[in-house]
Amino acid sequence: MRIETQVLVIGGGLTGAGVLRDLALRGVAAVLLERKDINAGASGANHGLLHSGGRYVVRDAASAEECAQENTILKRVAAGCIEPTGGLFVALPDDPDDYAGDFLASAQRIGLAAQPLDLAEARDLEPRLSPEIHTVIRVSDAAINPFMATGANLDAAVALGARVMLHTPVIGMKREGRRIVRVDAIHSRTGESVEIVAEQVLSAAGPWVDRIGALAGVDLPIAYSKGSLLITNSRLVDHVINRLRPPADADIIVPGETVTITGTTSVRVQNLDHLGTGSEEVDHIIAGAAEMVPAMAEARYIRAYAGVRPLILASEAESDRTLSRTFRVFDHAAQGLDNLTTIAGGKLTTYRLMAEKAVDQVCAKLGHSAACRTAQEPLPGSEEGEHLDTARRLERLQRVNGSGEVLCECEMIRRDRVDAVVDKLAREQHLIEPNAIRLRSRLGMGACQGGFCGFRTVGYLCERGHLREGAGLEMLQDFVEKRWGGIKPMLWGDQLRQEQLLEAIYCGSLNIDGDL
Amino acid sequence: MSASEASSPRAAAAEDQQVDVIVIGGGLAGLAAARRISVEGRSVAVIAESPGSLPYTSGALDLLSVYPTETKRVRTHPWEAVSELIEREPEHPYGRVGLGGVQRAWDDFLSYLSSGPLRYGNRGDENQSIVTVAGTLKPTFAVPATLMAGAEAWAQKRPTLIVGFDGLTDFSPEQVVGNLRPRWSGLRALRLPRASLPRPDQRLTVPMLAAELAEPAFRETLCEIIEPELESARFVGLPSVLGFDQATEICDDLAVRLGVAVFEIPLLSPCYPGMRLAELLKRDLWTAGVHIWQGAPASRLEDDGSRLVAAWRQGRSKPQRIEAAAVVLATGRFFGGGLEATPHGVRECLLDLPVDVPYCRDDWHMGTFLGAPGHPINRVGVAVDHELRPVDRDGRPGYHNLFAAGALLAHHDWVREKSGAGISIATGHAAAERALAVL
Repeated sequence: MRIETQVLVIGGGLTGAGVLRDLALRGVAAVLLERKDINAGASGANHGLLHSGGRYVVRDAASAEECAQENTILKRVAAGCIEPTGGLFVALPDDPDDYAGDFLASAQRIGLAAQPLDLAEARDLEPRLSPEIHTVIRVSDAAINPFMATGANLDAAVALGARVMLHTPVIGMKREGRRIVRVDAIHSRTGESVEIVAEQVLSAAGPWVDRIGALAGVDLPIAYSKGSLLITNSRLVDHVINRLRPPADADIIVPGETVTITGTTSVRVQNLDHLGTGSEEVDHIIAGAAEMVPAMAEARYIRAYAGVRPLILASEAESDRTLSRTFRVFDHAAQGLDNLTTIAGGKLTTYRLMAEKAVDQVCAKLGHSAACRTAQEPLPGSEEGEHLDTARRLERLQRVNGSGEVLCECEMIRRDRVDAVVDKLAREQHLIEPNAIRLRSRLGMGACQGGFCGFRTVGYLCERGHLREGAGLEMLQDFVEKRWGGIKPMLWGDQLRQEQLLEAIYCGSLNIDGDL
Repeated sequence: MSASEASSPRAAAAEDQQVDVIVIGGGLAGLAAARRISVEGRSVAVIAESPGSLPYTSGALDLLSVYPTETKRVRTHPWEAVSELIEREPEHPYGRVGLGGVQRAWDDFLSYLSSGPLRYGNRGDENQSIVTVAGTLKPTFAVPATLMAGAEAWAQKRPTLIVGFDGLTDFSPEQVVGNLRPRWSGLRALRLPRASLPRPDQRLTVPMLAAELAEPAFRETLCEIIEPELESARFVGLPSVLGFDQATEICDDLAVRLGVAVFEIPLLSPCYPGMRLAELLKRDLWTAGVHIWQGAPASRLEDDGSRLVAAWRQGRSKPQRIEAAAVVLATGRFFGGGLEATPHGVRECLLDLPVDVPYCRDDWHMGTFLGAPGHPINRVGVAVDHELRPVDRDGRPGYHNLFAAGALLAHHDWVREKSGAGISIATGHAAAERALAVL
């Protein structure tokens, strides 16, 4: 297959999706290639935290300001993906005494809303806070669903004529002089070769930007910092809880719709394709979270996952925590390459701004002068400004239920929702499988982690004739194997009991581990 | 207490009691042990916190279908495999019981089940493969009558119609057929529309279908719908909803009406074939005067230094003390509640018996879920001597009248071996015999 376009975007995370929509809104033809599925890298492995800027306000004013601005913009244009929970920065006796004062002074300097709360009020808002906490500052942190955000950006771009090709890794680039004249990719499911001829190439490949750079013959100074996160089976807090001290490990708790997400760690890694989370890291994260919210020690954890932060390396001497979390748009002209732009660094909260700056540069190279509109135009699903409200969503589902149509009981995903996702996958010529449905609907993201609904979903796909003969079993095996990596570190207590039941069913009763 | 009160245990008050043997655990191992003791004319009380794991099983009884688990070798002749296992793994529960003991237990238990209402049967000394709800085949040893025709249909690759009900979320006839058809070309799926079934405005559930199927009129209607779709099919498979109490008769009746063999495919949960087995075992025990105390677990065991003398449990209004001369411990593993895992280790919940577990939690499970040989945590449990007495780390039994049975035992992986029922039956029997011997 040969495709000609103005701009090729590489990377199907939130930044790539934001770039694609930004280009589409400016009237630039574009194609996006993603080697796996949406949010396969850091966009799918983070807290789902829309920063207020508070986390960076003392040490990294530039990042803090970016976050503060984007927080306000996204709550408007991406309202449907965001639950404006508010955030609390909490100090414990061991934390540095002067940090709260620095925090408030720095916040004032850059105009970031930060309000000290008296303890009674804070406990009223968040009854599970540790009694040891002596200082609480309220900020405008929020929870964001990154899968919805990426989906909305891609949908908007596609509606404007852009093209999205998932499971299509870039495998080579052909250069002539100062230009990339052709990008070679391959559709990993069908094996079909894809040749893309684009005037400009924009790499938003996250931690893989250096590999993309290498294919084009340029070096990128990127470091990989792994961060692990844990999910509990229920929502234990209603605000984002941050430790009121310089950023460190295990100091954030985020309410993510029906669950709680906590982390992180910061570990330098070399291999991006095998990110495990060991028991030591798990115990470290739980201990840190429990200092702020003691209930986190006894919570039932359902999953661990890890993402890689691509950090722009300024000097080897800096620690990963103090490296700026701001982003950079690379122009490779100085390295002798005129039509590649790389966007790297940054964070989920600033994806829109990152996309804007990267697209500004690409448009300049194209000689195209349209202005960015993503700060004004709401995303699909956010037109009314209605925020994500889990209680209301579940309440609605409960009302329309009663017909036995629920496939995923933890997340209340009904057959009609799955039908809609399947139709969309079919239109996009995407493989119809439980993982792809999970990323687009939350199916399987609850307490059983797909243990029960994965089986049911495969059965449903068979019923609807979406699978070829013999494929259902393979798909089920693949599904349980893929969920395993995140589940294995969390197996004790009730979660182990549940997993033992699942193993008894899958292996003992169904023999899907058997020599078939 | 009179026999009539004993047979309706839910109404019985939690009075203090004295029996010969207390069995702790209401799963297959505990019930098999209680039956063995009761058959010998000794008094027995069962303390069962929960309904046990039987309701989650398919009702098929595995002896040993896969061995060694490292190579996932599927065994046609399970007794041959049991002998091999005993040779190689003397610490395995089968090794502890010995080949003769395993055989005696199975002969006794199977002759009981085959003459009962569920009409269990096996194919001589060979395993048989039953059709599962995932469209896989599961090698097993003995099955209730309602599952038998499925194994036969597969064994002979006969033309077979798999019938499902629209709205029954956990059974997809297309999934069963889609997965098996590459190897079984005579397999077809039929999905009955919701509108053709009673109360089409309501959510279709397993209990609802089972209640309908208990009515001859509905069976007639159902057969009228299925019959024209049979074509060349000589077998019909249905989800396991053929009533609760009269399943064997209902299955036979459908077969007569349709003129073909009919079988059930066990659903995952609730699984009626497993529940019927649990119910049968309990009913027969009640009838024999065995007390089954459900709802609250044994909270504590009382000892006199070298022997256990009584078990305590929380009755509805006050703690209940049950005195006995011997105790069979069959509390299961993590799911049953016999073992509990914390982030830092595993404990046996009732007596804090020693449990050896891989030191680092990262080593409890393998990197793959389905791979060989199985997760190390699954071999964790209570170590016993040849008398099935739990032993300390030096191999010495702590109590002379305590015997352990079932999944709680160490050094087996019933899930991967497909030996769960076999281990429960063999060690339940053996523990009962050892308990009888100390009375």
